[in-house]
Amino acid sequence: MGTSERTPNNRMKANSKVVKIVLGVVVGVAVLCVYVFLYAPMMVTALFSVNDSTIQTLPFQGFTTKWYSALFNDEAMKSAIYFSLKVAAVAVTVSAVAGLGFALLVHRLQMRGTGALQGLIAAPLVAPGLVLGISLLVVFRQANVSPGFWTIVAGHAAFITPLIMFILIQRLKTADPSLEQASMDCGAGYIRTFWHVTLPGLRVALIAGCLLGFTLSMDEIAVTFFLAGTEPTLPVYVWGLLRFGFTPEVNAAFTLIAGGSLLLLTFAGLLLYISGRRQRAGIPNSIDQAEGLGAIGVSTAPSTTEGGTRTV
Amino acid sequence: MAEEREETELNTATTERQEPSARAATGESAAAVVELVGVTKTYPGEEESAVADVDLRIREGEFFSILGSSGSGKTTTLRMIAGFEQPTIGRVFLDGNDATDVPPYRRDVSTVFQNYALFPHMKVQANVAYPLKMSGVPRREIGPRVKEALERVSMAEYAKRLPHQLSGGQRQRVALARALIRGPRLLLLDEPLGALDLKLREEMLFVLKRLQREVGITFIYVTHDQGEALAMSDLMAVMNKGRIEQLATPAEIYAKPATSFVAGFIGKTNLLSCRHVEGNRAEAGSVPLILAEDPKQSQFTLSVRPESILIGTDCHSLPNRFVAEVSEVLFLGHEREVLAKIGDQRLMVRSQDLTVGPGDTIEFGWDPKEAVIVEATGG
Repeated sequence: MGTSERTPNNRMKANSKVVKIVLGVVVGVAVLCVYVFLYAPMMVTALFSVNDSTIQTLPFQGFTTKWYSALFNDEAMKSAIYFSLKVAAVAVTVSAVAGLGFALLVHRLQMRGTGALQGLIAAPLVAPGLVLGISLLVVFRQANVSPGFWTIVAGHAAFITPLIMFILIQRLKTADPSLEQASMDCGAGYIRTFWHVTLPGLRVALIAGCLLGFTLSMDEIAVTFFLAGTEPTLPVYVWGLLRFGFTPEVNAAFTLIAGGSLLLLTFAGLLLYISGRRQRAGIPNSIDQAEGLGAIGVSTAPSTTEGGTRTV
Repeated sequence: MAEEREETELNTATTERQEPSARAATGESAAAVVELVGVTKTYPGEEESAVADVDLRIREGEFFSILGSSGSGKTTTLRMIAGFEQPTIGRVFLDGNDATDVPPYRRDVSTVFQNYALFPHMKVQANVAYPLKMSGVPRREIGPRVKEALERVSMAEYAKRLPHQLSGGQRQRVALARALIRGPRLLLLDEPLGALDLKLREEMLFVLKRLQREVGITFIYVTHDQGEALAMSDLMAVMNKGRIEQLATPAEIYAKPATSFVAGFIGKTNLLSCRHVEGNRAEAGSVPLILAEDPKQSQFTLSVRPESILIGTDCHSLPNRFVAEVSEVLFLGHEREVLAKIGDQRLMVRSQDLTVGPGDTIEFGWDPKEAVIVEATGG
């Protein structure tokens, strides 16, 4: 830029370059602000969880892992973690089976009304946790089911099922229907076709859906709050701790939950990305097929008009 | 009287329906591997039938092609034979047995799909072994048979690869190996070469033809490429708008197209719409023509292949002889395509004469025996 001659044209170019740089900086700062807003609290919490002080103020007093050891010596906390893991595992298993069933059903029944069916199943996913929690609580009260492990599992499964279902439907939509036909053509009935061809095709999406469902279950508080009996899940327990003040152990617990969730989410995202890419890798095949069709179409399809010099 | 006739008609209809199995039992003619009787398929929500009243009889060991443009019903016909679709009306017989309601996995039929449909999560050898595994062949027999099948299509060295690591032609070969491994009575090929480039397509044509000769099973080959169909088939059906326009040998279809659609679809031709004058004389517009025989209708379409039109001195002895003005010349390499005007008619002729150009006059004619009267059809 320094060597540029001072012609009007060049000056204008230089001007527009400056404008571009300024705009770029402004946008960059704005984006950075959003990310800081989103991630700074997590960073701060994580930092304080290893700070060697009972009060959360700067400057840092030094590195320690004692809050983490305190956390893992807390029997109530440990049982809460164990309880949460158990709830998540069972809820996800139930949801995976139900979600798979619904996804196949919705995908196969290509008729009117499946849209409404999907919407109805999706409701718990988008309804506020408060609504789902209270309504389930009312139902369980009426049915005389005492709150506890199974009511929480039911509450969680209610919103994890549609999540898994939607992920699977998305995968089924892009799946190649001729694979199942090829399997039947090879002599496999419906069940063996499902087992050997359909399910392996859904495997990655199913695992990703389960991971997402698992994090949702581990973090869920609103629905759980209404449906929990005497035994709290991890988030509910931590929430309880908060009422007695913001102790460094809470920081440690929060850091673990956040870290674990982010890890699982990243993993699920990666899986979905890879499965999407693998599918797209199959698409060049269909693209060059389309090209092939086009090429042949050019040579034969118009031949009815072009070949016959139609003299009418 | 009328009632009586109706009754006899009904009777003949029912005896016709039973015919295939009866014929198979008596062994009257070569066994029909596939027979479609009055098959119509209308997809729900659609008014026009994808396949309309099709009758087909395909004999053992035949290379049978179904040729048609997209939407002609050829793939639907194939899918009904494979069992992926049920006919709305009519029956499908396999080996003389009514298989209309038999599910695809109980039919002794293999399909090579347009996109090959190899199972993406299975290695090549697992893909090829799949049909054997599903029919309960003992494990120790599967290995050698897979190896043999892969060798037959020269793919043995790729046994450990996944489908996405193969090229289009290689996938095609694996799909063929998988389809043939159970030794089916019938192999269905749905535009199997559509996804390949020209050179590979020609190579695969030979592979297919050789395989068919070696294994000796019936092939039903669906394509929209007339060149493929003409080159490969023992017998072919040309489909248009769900109906079979003509069913004959490739040579017959080329030489004697039954309808104007077939004439135009297979190769290039001149279609002249003619009016009968008297005897063997007719008129296309203002151009008088001599026919080989008296036409049956007063209005008809005449198909004249460009290669049966002779140019220059060769045509002097022919009854149909014209002097025409050249309006367009296309250079095709080995010859030229000349568009010539006689009166109000335009005809395409082929010429090896390199000096012909637009505006020149040429003399040409054809033997009346080379022109074919075809049935007028839409499309």
